[in-house]
Formats: sequence, C-alpha cells, structure tokens
Amino acid sequence: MNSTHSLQIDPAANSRVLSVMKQKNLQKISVPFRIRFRCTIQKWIDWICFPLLAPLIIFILKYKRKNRIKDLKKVRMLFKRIAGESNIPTLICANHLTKVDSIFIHYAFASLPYYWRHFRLFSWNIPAKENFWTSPLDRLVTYLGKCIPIVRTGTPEHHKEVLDTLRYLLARGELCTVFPEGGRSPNGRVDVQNVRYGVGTILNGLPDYRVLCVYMRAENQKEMTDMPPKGDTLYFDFKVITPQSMQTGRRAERDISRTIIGKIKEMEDLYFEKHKP
Amino acid sequence: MEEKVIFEKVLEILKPYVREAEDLKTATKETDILNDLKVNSSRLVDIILAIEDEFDIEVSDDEADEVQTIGDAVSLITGKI
Repeated sequence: MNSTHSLQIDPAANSRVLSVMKQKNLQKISVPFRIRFRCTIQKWIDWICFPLLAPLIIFILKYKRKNRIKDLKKVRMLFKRIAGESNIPTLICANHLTKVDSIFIHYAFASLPYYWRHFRLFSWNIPAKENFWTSPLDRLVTYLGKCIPIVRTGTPEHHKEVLDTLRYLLARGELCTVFPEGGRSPNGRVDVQNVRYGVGTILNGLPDYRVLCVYMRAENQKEMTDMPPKGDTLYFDFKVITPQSMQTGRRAERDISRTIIGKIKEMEDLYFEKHKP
Repeated sequence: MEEKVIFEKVLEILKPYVREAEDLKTATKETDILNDLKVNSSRLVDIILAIEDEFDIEVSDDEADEVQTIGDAVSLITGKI
C-alpha cells in the first residue's frame, strides 16, 4: 500500500498551523445558521448513539456476513497517520461497487473506540435519498450514520446546499466521503467517463484541501451488487493527492474531478495488475 | 450568426453525449436534452463548456441551470454573440 503523504509531523507546530488555518477556512466558508445548527445537533446525537448502533453493524459485517478487511492493522495505522494527525480539510473519494461501501470504509479505517474519541474522523456521507430514505428505520440509521441525504434529481438549489454543507464540514476538520462516479459502477469497473463534477465543486471553494483516494474491492466482486459477496475479504488501497487546476470555475471543477477519478482508476489498474488470474 | 447555424452546431456539440445518435436527426428546438435525448445530467457541464468554447462566450451557473431544451441553448447563445 502506498501513500504520498508525509508522515513527519510536529504535533505542536501542526496544532498552531491548524488553528490559524481553521479560522482562515471558517471565515471563507459560511452556511446559514440552520445548516450549522442542524449539523451540530446531528453530530452530537450520532456520537451519543454511536456505541449502540456501530457495534451492531460491525457485528453483522464481521460475524454474520463474515467479511474481512485485508491488512486491517496496516490500513488503520496509515489512516490514523494521514487523517488523525492533521485537520487539513480531507475529502475521501472512493470507487463505488456496493450499497454499503461507506460502512466498509468506516470499518476499515479505524476501530470503534478510536472513532468514539475522534468522532470528526467518522466521515459524513451523502447517500441518495431515493435509496436510503424509504422507511423510518432507514431514515433513522441514515441520520445516525452522519449522513446528509441528497436527492439526485433535486433542484440546483438543493444540490448547492448539500455541497455547501460538505464544504463547511470539511473546513471544520470533519471528514466527508463521496463517490465521484455518483453511483455504483454498473460493470464493476471505475467509469472515468461518468465522473460527476460535484466533487470538484466541493473542493474548488476551499482554500486548502487534500483528497484521500480510496480503491476497495471484495475479492470475488465481479460487478455492482447491494452487498459484497458473503465471506469475502476486502482489498483496500488509498493515496493522498491535492488535485489543482490552473483554470477557474466549472473548468477547474472538471479538472479536479478528472484528476481524482483518474487516480482511482490508476489504483484499480494496479489492483488488477496485482491480481491477474 | 444565423439561428439555424447555431442550432446545427449545438446538435454537433450534443452528439457525443446522447444515448442514441438517431434521436438527433428528429431533434427540434423543443427537444429536451435530458429527457428526450437521454443525456446524463452530469454531462451537462461538459456541454455548457463545449458551448462556451465553440461560441467564445461565458455562461453563468444560473444561465446554465435554465438550459433544458435545445431551443434554450440556442436562445442563450443567440443572446450572447
């Protein structure tokens, strides 16, 4: 597993820099009070309920479905160094093959006690409301899982509000996970042509940021499914990049999005190179 | 530039993004880009950027949001060149 991230961080200096950076970021990123209030309340409720809900979900994945993460300790150690020791706005961008990818990302990146102590690292997600807002139970679990549902066919105003909210959360040092393809890859491979530029829109408004590109895949995953195959071990790879563009506006957003999806595709190619039959 | 020429150029821009190229043969100004031509909504940005490049104009986010039909695109371009 590779990471382009520097691991030499002086905690004291880092803390001072982060404090200044956080203020700088917050001055530039503002959302209406109702959104700030809603996010704060949701985060507190989620944190309180976390010890009840999270172990149950992990129990199901680990013991009922018997899914495991390859090199779990190594993955968690790297994540801790990358995300845990710095508050730089970090967006997690992953490939998307199953409906529970974001849960597996949480499971792979840190232990439950670690999340409980550093709840900002339990990333926010933006599931499609059409899929995850169907029953009261779904709504509850989605709400308690630090999710901000998005209506894919919603108005530009709605999309803007969701993206602004994510940008605001990132600027506050919260982690957010998005799937640049916008949905699951139908043929099981990263679709570079189908990248959504929303990911670029989120980052383009931030004074400073980095992207944690994630490639994950169950060993017997052939195409998109609801869940990874039972009993499968999931491969994880991630790389930190800071995609930039010389362009402005929509063109910059497109450049940034394409760089991210290109990196994820590169990681997929590496996976298949390593796992040639 | 004549409206008909603009219309033809818009069709040319849309070509790589439509699901069935045949649909463009029967397209009119009323043809809805997303619903009738089955263009993926996330590709609308590419279309707007291609229009900007082709006609050397700038389109704001609000203007881009208003474009639903081929006629909307043609009117937007006509108003800017």
